[in-house]
Amino acid sequence: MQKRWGLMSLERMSVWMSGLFILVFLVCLALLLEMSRSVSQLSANRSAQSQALAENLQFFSNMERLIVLGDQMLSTVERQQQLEHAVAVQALLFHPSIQSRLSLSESSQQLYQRITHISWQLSQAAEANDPKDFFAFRRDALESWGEVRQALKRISTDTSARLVSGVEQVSQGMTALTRQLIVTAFAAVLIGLCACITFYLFFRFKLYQPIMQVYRHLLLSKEGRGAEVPLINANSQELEQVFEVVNHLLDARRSLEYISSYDPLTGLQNRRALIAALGRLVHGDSQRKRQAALLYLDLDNFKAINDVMDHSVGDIFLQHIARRISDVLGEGATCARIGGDEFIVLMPQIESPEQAKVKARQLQQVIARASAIGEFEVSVTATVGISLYPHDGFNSDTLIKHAEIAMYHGKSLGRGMIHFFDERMNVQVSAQLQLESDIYKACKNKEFELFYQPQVASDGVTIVGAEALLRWCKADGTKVLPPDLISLAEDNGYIHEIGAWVVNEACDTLSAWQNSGIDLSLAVNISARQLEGYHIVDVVEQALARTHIRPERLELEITESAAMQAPEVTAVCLERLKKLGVKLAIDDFGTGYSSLAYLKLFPIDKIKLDRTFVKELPGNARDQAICSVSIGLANSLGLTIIAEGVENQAQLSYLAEQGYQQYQGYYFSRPVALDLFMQQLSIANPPSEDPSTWQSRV
Amino acid sequence: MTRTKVVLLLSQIVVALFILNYQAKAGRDVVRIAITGTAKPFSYTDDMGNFVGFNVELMNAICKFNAWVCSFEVVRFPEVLPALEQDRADIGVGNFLYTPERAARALYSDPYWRSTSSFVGVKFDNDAPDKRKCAIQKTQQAAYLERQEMLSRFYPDNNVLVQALLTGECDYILLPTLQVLEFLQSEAGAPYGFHGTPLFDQGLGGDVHILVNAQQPARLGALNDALSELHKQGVYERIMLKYFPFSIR
Repeated sequence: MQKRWGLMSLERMSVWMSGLFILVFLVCLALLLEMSRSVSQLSANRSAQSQALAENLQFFSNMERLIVLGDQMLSTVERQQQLEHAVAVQALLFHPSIQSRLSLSESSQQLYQRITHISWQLSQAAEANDPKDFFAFRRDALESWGEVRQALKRISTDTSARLVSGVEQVSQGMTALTRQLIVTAFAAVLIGLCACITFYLFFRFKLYQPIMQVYRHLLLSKEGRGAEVPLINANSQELEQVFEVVNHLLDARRSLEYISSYDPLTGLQNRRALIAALGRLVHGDSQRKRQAALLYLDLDNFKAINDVMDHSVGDIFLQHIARRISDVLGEGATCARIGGDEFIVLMPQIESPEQAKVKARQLQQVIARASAIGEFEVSVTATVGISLYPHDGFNSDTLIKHAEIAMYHGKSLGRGMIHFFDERMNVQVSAQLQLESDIYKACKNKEFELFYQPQVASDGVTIVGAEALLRWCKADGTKVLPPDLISLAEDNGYIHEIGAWVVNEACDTLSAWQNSGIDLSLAVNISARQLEGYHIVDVVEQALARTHIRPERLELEITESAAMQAPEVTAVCLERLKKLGVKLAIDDFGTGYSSLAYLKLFPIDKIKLDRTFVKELPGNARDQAICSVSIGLANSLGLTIIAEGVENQAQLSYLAEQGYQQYQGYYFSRPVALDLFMQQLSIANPPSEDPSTWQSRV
Repeated sequence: MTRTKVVLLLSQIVVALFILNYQAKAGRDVVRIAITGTAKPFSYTDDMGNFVGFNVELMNAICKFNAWVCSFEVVRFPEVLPALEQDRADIGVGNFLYTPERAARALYSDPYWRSTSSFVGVKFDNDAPDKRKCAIQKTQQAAYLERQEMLSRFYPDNNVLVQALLTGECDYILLPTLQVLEFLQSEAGAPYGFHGTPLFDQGLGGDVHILVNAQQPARLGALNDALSELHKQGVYERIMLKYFPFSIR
């Protein structure tokens, strides 16, 4: 019932209020008209009554005057005075003020005659010489006047009574009317007052209070104190809708504010909130007395989790990491997620850098714990870069940048490290950034080139294939070493673009050879990053389709260590590549921590014995053993084996004795440009030789 | 000049103009009153040579109330109405009863007393058709006598009419009852008295009015307001009882 009354529609209430006001207006108008009518009636009645009273008063007054004049007429003996009074009495008797009343009771004619007779008697008495006659006339006159006087007095008294009665009636009428007017006025005032109170209550409780609620709620919401004045009592349907909308809008604003400051996945602050917090810290420390630390955490190899398992698994893992980080933050510290797998922990007050290092280590420990997510068990390490305030910077951008540089420096030295920022890192990073920029330009401007190192047959002369190696000669003539290039390309993502270029370039070379009747294989190196996401499969497939080369002439080499980084991924990728018909080789064989089971799993065609095992041949017994085992393994598995790094005849001879079929190394040639390689080819493989014999050697 | 000063200055100018206007108006507003001069006790010259009477004192009170400067011009009754018509007077006082003919020529004030007409002749004399009956010219009484086809004569004013009675030129005179009161109360009038009952009908009695120039309706309004106010203040009653032994309203 309360709710139903409280939530009446404003529109309906306004209709009711309008009706109420019209009703009140009409009632007040009616009361006003009634009062006016009463007053008019009173005025008219009063006027008539006043007129009547005036007439009666005039009559009464003149009647009394008539009696007095008559008394004076009889009381005086002086003739002139008698005459004056007698004439006055006669004149008064026939004045209209007397005439209109006397005709109702006493005949004025008779009175006039009697008074005339009395006057005559008095005049006779005045003229009488005999005292007897005088007294007789006077006596008669007195007797006659006595009777007339009585009659006049009766009339006068009667008139007086009527006057009093009339005044009384008027008074009563006035009183009654006054009472009526007072009651009417009071009723009108009361009705008006009730209407005003009703309107006031309506206005206050149905409009003012809810609107003020909204106002105060909005005002306090700006300060985050909106809950102190909740929007609950709308008191009408329309305002309830307004409340709802306002609440929605505020909720939306809070959500936006939350989204703008917090990472939706982990619930941690985001970069914007972190920068704001840093800004507050810096601005609040005008005298630079405080010491703070910024810990830049990057999860090592997190991308593999997304690629191998699923992004949903990666997301859940990040949430676990975020929770663990939050659990060990400590008082005052905050954590923000600023990138895919990058976090920054802000320690606003530290006693010494060692405290930051201890915290970093603690964070690494909790991050390194394995997480069970579905059927997977996931774990990563974290590299931490630390910058110190104010030592390493006075503003948020500088501090973050320096922490990041320290982190990248740690990554470059080996993952899972903790490094404090050093100004020298800045120099390195600058150089690295410059190199990244150069790589970008190189990709655009096609500054890369493939050099070719021949792979020779067991006769040590015949070229059976080649390995294509990436070279970069920058526009300024500077040459960048391949390891630096590959490492940086893997870090900044350019490896895919560069790798695609290498594959396509190699396929173009193979196509040219094929068209020229040169039947050689050409090997290109594939990095572990290229295996992630299996993009390399698409690249090779497209290149093969474009160039129409024999796929078995293309050989893809992957180092053993790279293959073992994510064996499952490697296996899947190699299978797909194998289906395209290309050849697969394990490079730097013997240097990685390969499991023989995985080796069996990989669909490889060739293994390349690492140069480190050839370098000290034939003198090093261990190397001899390794070479022997390797050839045995290859033969057992039906794989082709090639020895890398052959630099002298002794090595060649030893390896030949062991049964190695192919060799590669400076002894034969260093990697050279294509035109030089073609010259070597023409010398080593004269055109007259049967191409089919080459194939048997591959 | 600031706005306040301008407003003050304008206010002072307006007030000054109002006062000047009032004063000018008061100074210029001379009211010409045409009044009969021989109708005692209404308007007459006393033994000291002063022009007095009920009508005179009443008009003086009205002029004072309206801040008029009144000047009295004594004329005979038949000349009062023409004076108003010819704009030689603003107000005409002569105890006028209402007639439609007069109302077409001048404005009638509110009634200020009630009158009857009476025949006055020798006491106890008996009327006869050959008796000469006289009245003041151009009065209702004169009109009555003419209508009755009585043997009649008309005289210009009250005094002449009374004189005609005294000399025997008239056997009876017909005039307002109160207008002959003084005469009957005098020694000369002792042998005479009212004959018959006072006449009220046929225009011989009723409300008595003051006439106002037909071109001055505003003056009429002021006159009536003054009459009303004088009644309220009791000034009228005092003046009336000074000249009459009873109320004549």
